[in-house]
Amino acid sequence: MTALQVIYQPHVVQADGACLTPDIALADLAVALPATPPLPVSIERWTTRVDTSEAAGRTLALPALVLVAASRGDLLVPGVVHADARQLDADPLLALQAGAKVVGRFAVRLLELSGVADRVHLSWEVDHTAVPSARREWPLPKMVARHACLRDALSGWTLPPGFALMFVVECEQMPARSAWHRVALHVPGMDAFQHEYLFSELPVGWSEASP
Amino acid sequence: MIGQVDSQAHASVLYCAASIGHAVWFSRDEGQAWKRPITPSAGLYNESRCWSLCVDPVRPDEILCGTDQGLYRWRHSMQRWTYMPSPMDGLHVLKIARSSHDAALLAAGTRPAEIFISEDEGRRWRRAFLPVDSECHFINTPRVTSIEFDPVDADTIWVTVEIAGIFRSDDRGRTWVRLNDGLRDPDVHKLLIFDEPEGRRLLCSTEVGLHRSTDDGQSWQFQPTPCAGELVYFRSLAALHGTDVVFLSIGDRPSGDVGKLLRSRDGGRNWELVPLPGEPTTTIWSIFTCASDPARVLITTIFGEIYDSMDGGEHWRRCGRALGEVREVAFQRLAHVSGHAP
Repeated sequence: MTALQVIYQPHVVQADGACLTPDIALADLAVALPATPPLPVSIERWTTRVDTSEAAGRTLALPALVLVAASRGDLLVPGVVHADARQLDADPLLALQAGAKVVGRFAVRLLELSGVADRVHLSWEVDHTAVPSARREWPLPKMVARHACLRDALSGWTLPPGFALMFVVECEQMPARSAWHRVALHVPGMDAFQHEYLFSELPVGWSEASP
Repeated sequence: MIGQVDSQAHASVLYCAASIGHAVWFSRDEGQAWKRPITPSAGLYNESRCWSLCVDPVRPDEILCGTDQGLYRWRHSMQRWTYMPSPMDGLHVLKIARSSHDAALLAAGTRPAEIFISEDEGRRWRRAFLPVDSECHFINTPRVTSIEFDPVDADTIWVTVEIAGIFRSDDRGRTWVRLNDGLRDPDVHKLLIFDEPEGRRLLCSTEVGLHRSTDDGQSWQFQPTPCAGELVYFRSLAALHGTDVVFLSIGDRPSGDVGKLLRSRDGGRNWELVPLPGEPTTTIWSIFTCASDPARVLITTIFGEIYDSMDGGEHWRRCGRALGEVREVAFQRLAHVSGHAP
């Protein structure tokens, strides 16, 4: 861990309804694609904003499960990895540096999943105005099968302090377009842990008329 | 002798108060009138949340201030605050301390609880990796409540953390030990170190009373303070330099409805209640004393009721109006009486 970079303030919701909101200092972030080990990404890409903007036509939005180190037990949060679509196959490390790593503010502690892990799932919806909305779901066991680190975490292995890991559930997504995105973690017996944000495409270039 | 005050010198004393929401207040007339530098020329937004002050006679031209938008340095010669780049931007900089052995050595404590060390007057900082949990059931996130440079060992730093206990580093923050053995509660607020001919004695204020240690913090014993009555929330501690006089602030809770000041004349063994003019309506949060002006004591409640004493705490005066939420007060002898009041 190098230096404090980002303060993450999750609302850690418990099954009994109690909620803790710690300030967690994060310095190290890594993203695991389905076919790669965790690749380091600058923690400065981490955001909990409800609006982000990215390069038009070349950004992928990849739903992810996010594991965050916390002293009372690691947290699980829904998130979305933005990456450069053109580089993802050729140079995934470079592709992942481009774009926000969007993370929700509502978190569940891994310990809360005991006994219900096989019924946990992640969902992702996109509300396009011009095209029909899309919705997809991934059960946790399927994600665990793809990511050994996630399996280890569920088995009791914990992240070092200051670390966060994002596990991309699938890479074959449509290129992101300006739209509302909703990513949610569904845990039986609890309200969905969800994050909604507006994805905006940046202009392709400034016109001469632009200021 | 305590109590002999040079009235001419009063004019060159600056009082300052770190406010949550009103930046830093200054008074050039011993607390009767308070002003804040205006935002356009001050270098610090004058409704900033300011948590901490660091005033030291060895740097008479400067005041350091910890905010939740970074660290700032005031220079009297410039009459403005200057932002100091550091890895603490975005954290609450709750405490700042300067070593009495090496004026270039600074330590700052934050929320979340972490210590940052600078060995070059604040130009560069390194994180000290305080071994504290990131979460706390009662206050969400632990935070640093005090930093003391050891008066004997130049490399030793003492830190109290709410709610995690007492920590000591003997290598300028590179490694830490936690020293909680015997504490009734790890919600600790302030540490005081007495080096006496018969040995070292430490005092520590906690949420449930006062503790003392005679083995350099290896173990702690609860110290009864009968004059505190029902009040158990012990907050700040400060000693009058060169004497056995110690002040201790107590209340019913944070922020509380009652604030009392206790005094010991024998280094913290026995305590008495100090009458203050007007009853503080909340806990006394900060007590400031300084070797450069050993008879002067400045205290504030968390809601900005400020009191001072010029005779070592025998007589007290309430200073002007309440300032709103205040976390720390300090005073400073000014080298020159400038025509421009801050």
